[in-house]
Amino acid sequence: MRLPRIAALLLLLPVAAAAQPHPDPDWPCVQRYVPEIGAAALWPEAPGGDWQDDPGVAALVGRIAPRPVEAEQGLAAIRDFAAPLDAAARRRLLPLAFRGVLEETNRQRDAVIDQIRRYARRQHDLAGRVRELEAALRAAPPPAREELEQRRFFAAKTYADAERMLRYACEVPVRLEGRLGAYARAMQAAMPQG
Amino acid sequence: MPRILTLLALLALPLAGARAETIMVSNEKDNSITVLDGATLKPVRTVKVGERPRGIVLSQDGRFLYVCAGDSDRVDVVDTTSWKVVRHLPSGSDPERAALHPDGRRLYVANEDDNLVTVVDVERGVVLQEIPVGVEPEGMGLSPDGRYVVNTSETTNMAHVIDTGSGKIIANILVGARPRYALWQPDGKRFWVSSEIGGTLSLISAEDWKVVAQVGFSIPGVPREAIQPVGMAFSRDAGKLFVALGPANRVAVVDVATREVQRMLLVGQRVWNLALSADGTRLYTTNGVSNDLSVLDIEAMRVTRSVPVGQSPWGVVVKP
Repeated sequence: MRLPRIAALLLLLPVAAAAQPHPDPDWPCVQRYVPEIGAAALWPEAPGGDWQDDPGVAALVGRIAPRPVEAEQGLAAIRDFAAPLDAAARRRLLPLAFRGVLEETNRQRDAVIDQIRRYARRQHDLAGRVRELEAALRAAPPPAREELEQRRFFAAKTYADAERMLRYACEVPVRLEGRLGAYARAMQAAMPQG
Repeated sequence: MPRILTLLALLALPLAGARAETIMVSNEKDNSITVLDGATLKPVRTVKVGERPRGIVLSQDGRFLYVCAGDSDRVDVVDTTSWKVVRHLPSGSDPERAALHPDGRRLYVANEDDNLVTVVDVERGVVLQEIPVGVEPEGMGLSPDGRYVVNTSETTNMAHVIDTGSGKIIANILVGARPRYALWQPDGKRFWVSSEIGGTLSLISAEDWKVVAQVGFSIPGVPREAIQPVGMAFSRDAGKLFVALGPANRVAVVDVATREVQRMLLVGQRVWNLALSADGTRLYTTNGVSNDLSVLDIEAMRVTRSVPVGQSPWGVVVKP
């Protein structure tokens, strides 16, 4: 069983290598890199206008868009915002508010993605260091080994810890997108029908 | 009198048909299956299964649900009467998706971590065969006659056609980047492959294993990187192909004859997999970021309900 498997794999390899897309070494996440969340992904028609011109909308966006705000708090603020508005005001202001949280979320998302890329580059360097230390360890005379071994151990540990952190960091853009979606649905639900 | 009752009962059937079904959804981050009643569209129970459940398949008689529990490296068998995990089936490392042979016994499992498709006998609970394929195998599509199984490998960007008789790969077809799903047309003449990163569908002929057509998508106001085709399902007459487009939050409706994209329907966030209702009037979609199931009315071409399920819903099947 073992040999045929290897033979079959070898047959596949030349074609497989040719089919690889150009990898993005700075993008370590399993989720495909998407540069921004498009308005049309969450809102049926393009919401236009400058949301900062309306003080009420700007205040709502300032309250619900910051990263630490939980979706539940944000949803309550949206309901409170919409409750006193008549149909015409809702039709005008809710798309503006969506535009505002979309822009703010994309800004936060950009910052997180930059951070993820910085981590990924650091990981790349760290992996290189671990390899260097391993090579040095193999070549070193016995008296020098203990110190080198310790340095290799800490470099490898830092790398492994950062890998775990990266996996967590990759979920942050997804969570921001999820919260934005919940806001969008709440604003849609508060829009007058027809 | 009894005759009239029977007639009434028969008349009531078409109404009840669509609604008597059971919908099952795997929740990737909750390690569970949500079971929904098709009539009320309400979750009726949650079944705990192994870690990171993704692909789910029903046995032919609907008595068992096979669940690929990726992080537990096994396939769980859920009894759909007692709603308990009654058995574990062996698999390779990190099983992601599976397909059942028309013989009802051979389950073809794609194992993401060890580049193998395992063939499992679901009755005896043993691995019959291991077939080496490309890197990160995922999509599994069985031809309607059971002669071929198509496996897609996410990193190798290929569809591998396996002869189920010999267990050997007979064709490797290059498709768009990160192919996720393979679906045969009911006539067995062609199959479709979706590519998450390529953002395309490839249509492949079973006559010469060549790509005969490609379908692309674009949505104004949505970055092209967000258009990630994954799950697919045919309409009941196989005239339309529904395609889940991931974080574009759309289901595309493709005309199978002309290969034109007819509609783009807004659903929940990161739509991944699809299932048609037993009567063909509804499409159910799992949305991994909004943690819900969208119910699409196929005639009206719009979402009529969004039902919250578990965390990161992934697979969906319907038991009539």
